[in-house]
Amino acid sequence: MGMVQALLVIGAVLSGPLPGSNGTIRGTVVNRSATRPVPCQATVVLRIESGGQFVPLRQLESDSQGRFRFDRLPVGAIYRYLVGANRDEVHYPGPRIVLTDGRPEAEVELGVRDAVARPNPLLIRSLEIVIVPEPGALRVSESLRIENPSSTCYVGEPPPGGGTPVTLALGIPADFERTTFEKEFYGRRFAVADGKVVTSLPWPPGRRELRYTYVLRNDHAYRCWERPLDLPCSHVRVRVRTSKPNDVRCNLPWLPAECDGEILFQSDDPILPAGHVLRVELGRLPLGWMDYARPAALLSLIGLIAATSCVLVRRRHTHPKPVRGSKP
Amino acid sequence: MTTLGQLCLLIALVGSGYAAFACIVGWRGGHGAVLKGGLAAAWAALAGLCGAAVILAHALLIKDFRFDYVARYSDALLPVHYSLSAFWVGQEGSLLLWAWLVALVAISYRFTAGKQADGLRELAFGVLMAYACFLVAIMVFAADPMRPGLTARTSGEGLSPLLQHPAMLVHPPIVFLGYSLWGVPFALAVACLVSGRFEAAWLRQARAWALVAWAVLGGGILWGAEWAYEELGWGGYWSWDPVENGSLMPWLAGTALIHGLLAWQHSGGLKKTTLGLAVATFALCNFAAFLTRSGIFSSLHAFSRSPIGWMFLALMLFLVIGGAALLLARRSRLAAERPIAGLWSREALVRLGVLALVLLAAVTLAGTLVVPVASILCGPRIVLGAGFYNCALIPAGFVLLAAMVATPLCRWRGSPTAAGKQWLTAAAGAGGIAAATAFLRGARHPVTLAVAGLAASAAVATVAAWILDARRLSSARPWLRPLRALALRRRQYAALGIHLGFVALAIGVTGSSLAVRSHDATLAQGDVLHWAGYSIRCLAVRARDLPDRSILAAELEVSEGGATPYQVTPSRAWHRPLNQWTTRVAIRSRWDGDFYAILRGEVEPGKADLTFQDNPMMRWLWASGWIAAAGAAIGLGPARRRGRRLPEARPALLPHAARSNRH
Repeated sequence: MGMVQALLVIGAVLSGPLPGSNGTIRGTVVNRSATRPVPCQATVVLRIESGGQFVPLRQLESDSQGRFRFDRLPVGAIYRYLVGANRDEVHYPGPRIVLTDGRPEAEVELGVRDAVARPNPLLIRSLEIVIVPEPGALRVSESLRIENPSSTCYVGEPPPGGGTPVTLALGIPADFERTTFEKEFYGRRFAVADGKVVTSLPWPPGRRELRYTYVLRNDHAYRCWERPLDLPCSHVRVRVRTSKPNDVRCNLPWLPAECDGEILFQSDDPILPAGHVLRVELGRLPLGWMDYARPAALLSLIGLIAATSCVLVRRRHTHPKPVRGSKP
Repeated sequence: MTTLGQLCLLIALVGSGYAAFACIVGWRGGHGAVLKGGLAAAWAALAGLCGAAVILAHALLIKDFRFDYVARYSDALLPVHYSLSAFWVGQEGSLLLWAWLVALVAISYRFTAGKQADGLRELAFGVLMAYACFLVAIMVFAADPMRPGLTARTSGEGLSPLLQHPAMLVHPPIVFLGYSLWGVPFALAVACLVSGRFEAAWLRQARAWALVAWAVLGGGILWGAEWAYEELGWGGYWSWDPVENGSLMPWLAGTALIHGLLAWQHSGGLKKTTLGLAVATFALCNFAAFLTRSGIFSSLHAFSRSPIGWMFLALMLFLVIGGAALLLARRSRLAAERPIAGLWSREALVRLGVLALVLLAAVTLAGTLVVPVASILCGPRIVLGAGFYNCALIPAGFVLLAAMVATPLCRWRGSPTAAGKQWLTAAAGAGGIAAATAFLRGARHPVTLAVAGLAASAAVATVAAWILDARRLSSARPWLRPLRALALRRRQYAALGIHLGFVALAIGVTGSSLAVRSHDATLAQGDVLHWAGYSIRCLAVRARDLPDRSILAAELEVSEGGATPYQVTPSRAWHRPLNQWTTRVAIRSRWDGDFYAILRGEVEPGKADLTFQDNPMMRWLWASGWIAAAGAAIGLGPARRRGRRLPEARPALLPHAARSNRH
C-alpha cells in the first residue's frame, strides 16, 4: 500500500502543477574545501520521499555562481524533499525540507568538496576490539571511529590494473567466516576482494563510526589472532572475554579490567602507524566436538588394526601358516 | 543433523580404513575371519557414506542453512532440482559423492568378481577400500561437508547461475562415477603386480570394468561439452581448459588400456604397457582432481585454492612411482609371448592405436602442465590454444581412423585373408569416392576430405567384416546368417560399433571446427537479415524482471530456403544477487548442422546485438556418444556359451592357454 501511495505521489508531482504547486527550493552550491566557501558549479538533485526512500525527482546544473532553483513544487507536510549536489562523482546530501502553505519557499546552501585520490588523509581516532572465544570459533567485534581531518573528500586511487578505487581495506584475518555490519548502509558498501573486506565509499571531512562483527573458525586449542592496522590509529583497546586470563597474551600493555571475565589491553602510544600488527595469543580455547572426535576416530582405527595384528600374531604361533592367497 | 552427518563420516573413516587393512592382511595370510571382518567394515563404511550423502542431500533440498556447505552453494530462491546439483558443485560435496561412489563400486566389484578371481579379489577390494579411506580422510580432516555454519543465516550465497542447467544434474556425477570405476582396473592391476598372478580372470574382469568406466567417463565428458555449448554462449564446446583436459587424459589413457587388454588377451603382448596404463589411467584421474582442487588454474570448473589438490598430486606421484617399481620388479614375467605376426595383423594395428592414444594423452598432459610450469620458470603466463593441440590431434586422429578402417578385416596373429584383402581395397575405393564427393560438394580442406574418405572406408570395412563372417556360416539359412554372425561375435561387433561412434565423433569435430560460419548483427523489431541461406526476422526484443534476475530475450523467426519458418529465442539474464550475467543460446539442430544464435546484449532499448553461427555436423558429435554407449552396453552382455562359435574363428589365446601350449 505504501508503494502505491508513493507512486501516486510521484505521479502526481510529475504530471504537472497541482493546485498547491507553488513551492520553491533555491539555494547555492559552495565549495568548502577552500579556506572560505566559494560558489561552484555542480549537479543538483532534488529527491522526494517515496515508500520510506528518497527517489530522484528533478536534476539541474547550478550556474557559475553556484545558484540553483526548483519551482512549482507541491507543498504540504506529505511532501518531504531532499536536495543534494554531485561533484566528482561524489554525492553531498543537503538538509531534508518540507514546504508548507505558510512557508512555500526554502533556501539552502549545499557544501561540496574537492575530491582527492592521494595522499590518504584518514585516521582512526579510536579502535575497540572485543574477542569472544566460543566452541570451535572466535567471535570478534570491532568498532572504529574514522576521521578525515582534511577539508577535502578522499576518493582513493584506482588500482594499477584499473577498476574501482579502494578507500578503506579492513585488515581483518582472511579466514573470517562472515562479516556483519551494524548499519546496513555499510554492509551494502563493503565487499570482499581478494579475501579482504574493502570499500570504495568516499570519505568527506568529519567522523564516521564503523561497527562490525566477524567469526573465525577455530579447530586448535591455541590461536594467534593478528590484525594489521588499516590506518594510523590512536586509542587502541583490545578486550578478550574469557575466564582463563592466564592463557591470553597481547602485544599491547595490559590494563586492569572493568568487569570480571574480561581482560583489557590498551595502547599507550599516542598513535600507532598503519600496518602495525595487533597480536593476541589465546591458549586453551574451547573446541567443537569434532575436534575431539577426529583423533578419537583415528585412535579407534589404529586400535582395531593393532588388535587384529595381535590376534594374527598369536594365531601364527598356535596354527600352521596357511598357503598365501588361498581361499579362506 | 550436522552432528549426525559428521558421525557418519567418522564411521566411514574407521570402516574404510579397517576394511583396507583387513582385506590386504587377510589376503596375505589367508585369514577368513579377518577377511569377513574387512567386508563387514566395508559395509559399515558404505553405510556411513550413504548416511552422510542422504543427510547432505536432505539439507540441500530443505535448504537447511545451518550447514555451512548449504549456505555457500544454495539460497532461498534456488529451484529444488538445482538444489540437488549443489551437492557436487562444491569441493566438500563432490568429495563426498566421489567417496560414496568409490565405496559403492568397491562393494559391487567384491560381489560380482566371481570365484575365478578369488586370488585377486580380496587384494583388489582392499586397494579400492584404501582409496575410499583416502577420500574420506580428506573430508574428515580438511573438507568437511557436514561442517556447521558459525552464524545463523536465512539464506545462502547461492549457486552460480552458469551451473543452473539440466546438464549439471548429470555431468559431474557421471564424471565422478567414471573416475571411481577406473579404480577397479587399477586395483586389479595392483593386485596382479603384488601377487604376481597374471591370470585370465584379471583380463576378463579388468576389460569389463574398464569398458564401463570408459563409456561412463566418455558420456560425462560429452555431457560437459554439451553444457558448454548450450550454456556458456561462446559458440563452441571444448576450449582445452586445463580442467577439461584433466578429464580427457584418463579417458584417452583408458581407451589405450582397453586395447592393451585386448592385445594381451588375444596375442599375449603389451603386458607391461597394459598394466602401466591401468595405473596411469587411475593416476590421471587423481591428476584431474589435483587440477580442480589445487587452485593453480582459474577455471569455471575449478574449486578454490586449497591444500587438498596437492594431496591428490602426492597420491598420483605415489601411484606412478609405486606402479613403476612393481612393473620393474615383475618385468621378467611380463615378457611378450610371441612376436607380432605381421604389419597387417590385428595386434599390430592395436599397438598402433595404443601408441596414438598414449601420444594424445601425453600431448594433452604436456599442454596442461606447460602453463603453470612456464609461469613458475618464466614469469609471464603462456596460453596454449587449439593450434597446439591440433598439431598432435590431427595426425594421431588420422592414425586412429586408419587403424579402425583396417581392424575389422584383419585377424589376430595373422595377415588378412584373400577376401579380406579384396574388401580392404574396396574400402579404400569407397573412401576415395567419399572424399571426391565431399570435394564436389564444396569441401576443400584436406582434413575434411581425409575424414570423409576414412569415415566411408571404416563403414565399408565394418560391413565387409560382417558379410565375411556371415558367409562362413554355411550351416545356417542364408537370410539368418548375418544375424547369427552378429549374435556369435557380439562383442567384436559391439567394439566395431564403438569404432563407428568414434568415426561419427571425428565427423562432428571436423565439421564443427573447420566449417563454422559466423555473423554479428544488430536487429530491432521487424528487421530482417539474410545470411548463409537463412532469413532471420526479429519479432521482438523483450525485457522482463523475475524476483532474482532480469531477462532480455530476442524473439527471432528463421526460415531456410523457403521451408516453414521456425522461432528461436536467444536470451541473456542478469542475476542480481550474484551480480552475474548468463547467456542462453538458441539452437536449431539438424543432421547437417546447427543454427546457433547468441544474444550479446542490447545496443539501445529495443535493439539486440546478436551473433549467428552455422555449426556443421554438431549432431554427429552428440550421436557419437550414444553410438559408443550402445556399443559398450552390447559388449558388456554375458559371454556366449561354449561350443557356439563361428567356424574358422580362432580360440582366444589366454595366457594360461599359451603356457599350457608350451608345455
